[in-house]
Amino acid sequence: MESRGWSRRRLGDRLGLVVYGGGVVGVTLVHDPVWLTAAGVGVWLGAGKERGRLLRRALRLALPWLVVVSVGYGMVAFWSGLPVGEVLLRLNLRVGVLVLLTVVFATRVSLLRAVDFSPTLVWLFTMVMSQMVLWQRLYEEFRLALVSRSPGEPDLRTVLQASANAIAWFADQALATARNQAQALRARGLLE
Amino acid sequence: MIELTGVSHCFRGQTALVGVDLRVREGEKVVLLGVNGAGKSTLLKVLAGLVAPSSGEYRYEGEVITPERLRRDRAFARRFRGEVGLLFQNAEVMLFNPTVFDEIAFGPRQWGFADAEERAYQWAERVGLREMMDRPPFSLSGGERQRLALACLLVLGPRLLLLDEPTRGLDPPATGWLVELIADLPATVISSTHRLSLAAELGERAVVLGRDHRLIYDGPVEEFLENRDQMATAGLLHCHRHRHGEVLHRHLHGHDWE
Ligand SMILES: Nc1ncnc2c1ncn2[C@@H]1O[C@H](COP(=O)(O)OP(=O)(O)OP(=O)(O)O)[C@@H](O)[C@H]1O
Ligand SMILES: [Mg+2]
Repeated sequence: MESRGWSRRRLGDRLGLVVYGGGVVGVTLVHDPVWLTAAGVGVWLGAGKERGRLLRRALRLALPWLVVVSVGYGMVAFWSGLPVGEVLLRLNLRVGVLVLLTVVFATRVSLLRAVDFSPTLVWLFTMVMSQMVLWQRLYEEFRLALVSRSPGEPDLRTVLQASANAIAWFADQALATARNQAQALRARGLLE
Repeated sequence: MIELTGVSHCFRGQTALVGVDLRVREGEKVVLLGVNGAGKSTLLKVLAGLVAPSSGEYRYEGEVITPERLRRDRAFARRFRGEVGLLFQNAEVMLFNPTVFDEIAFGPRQWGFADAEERAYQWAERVGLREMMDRPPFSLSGGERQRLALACLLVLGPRLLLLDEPTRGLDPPATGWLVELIADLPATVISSTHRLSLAAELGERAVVLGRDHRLIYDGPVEEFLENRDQMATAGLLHCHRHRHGEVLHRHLHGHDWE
């Protein structure tokens, strides 16, 4: 009985994985802001009763990154006379929809169950997820450090400075991690 | 000064602290001991008003402290954050200014001290970073960053200093310097460590968290260091094989302090 419940859930998880994969590819291919917005609204409506909380979580994850990237891109584009408005709109919408999709997917589906047909994939996902947990904690650490060093709400300049520092640090770490993981993958014979 | 009553904390199902009762008087030097994951960092974050107890109560100078209250009551937060400094276990996360000088001057400027620059120079001198004032913090070595983060806290003249593994990455001279600095500081200092060799130097009172995240000892450091059973319960002794002449055997050690 127990195992039948498990395999039914696993089937659902795999279906979820396929839908998610399709969604990600779809969102990457669509360029029209109207369609991107429609996709975002669609995902959000499909998210069920928890949609308020999920939207807030997605925003919290995506916003710091989007603000920094948008400001950076905006300045560069402004100085070099590139188009700003539409590119930024598309970027923000696309990343927003992707993050929302991921957040919704993560609450619905157990990735580990979805991929348990392949030990290698399980190992890979475990590795990626442990990285995500680690990064989430680190992000929280950066945030708390800023709070503890400020007398009140930090001003925009300080927040941007601190985010830039955190991002630089993450990029540095990500590079080192990627290198290590590539080596680990090679050691397990996965890249040959 | 500090009063914790039955403080517990859970991170989404992950227990970090259970029923901690603790009182600390002004000016005390306390050393917080415990194995990895015992809850030392979490306890220090509760004391810094960054993490809310899931249950129980934390009072600082008689005032109930929660992150919620600090967000609401701005004037109080300003005073509290000025008086209480936390050195994070990863000191890197505290550094985000373009130069070492700006980093140290950040706090005094935020609090509107008239002598912000002077203070920054003074503390740069004291932590031995005077020559590096114009360098970006991320270009410093691990130990230098640790000292820089420390200077950022000390420059504000805190009343309560919370140090999470303050000797991490410090070489022996810098460690000695820090030990003396802590002893001479008028502030209340709570430092965490899992190195028994340093316990007696960082404070006269030991507070020990067990593997079950409960407080298992609170008293004089010396007494704790004399009681092997207690240290073994806390998981602070290590066990490994070694040779005495021809005989290979294993038993518990605390030898980094013997
Ligand atoms: N942000 C977090 N989210 C979830 N769990 C956490 C978080 N931070 C800490 N924990 C968990 O809480 C427990 C106590 O962690 P804490 O960091 O306080 O331990 P510690 O005594 O400081 O350990 P160490 O000596 O390794 O620094 C651990 O089991 C840890 O996994
Ligand atoms: Mg810790």
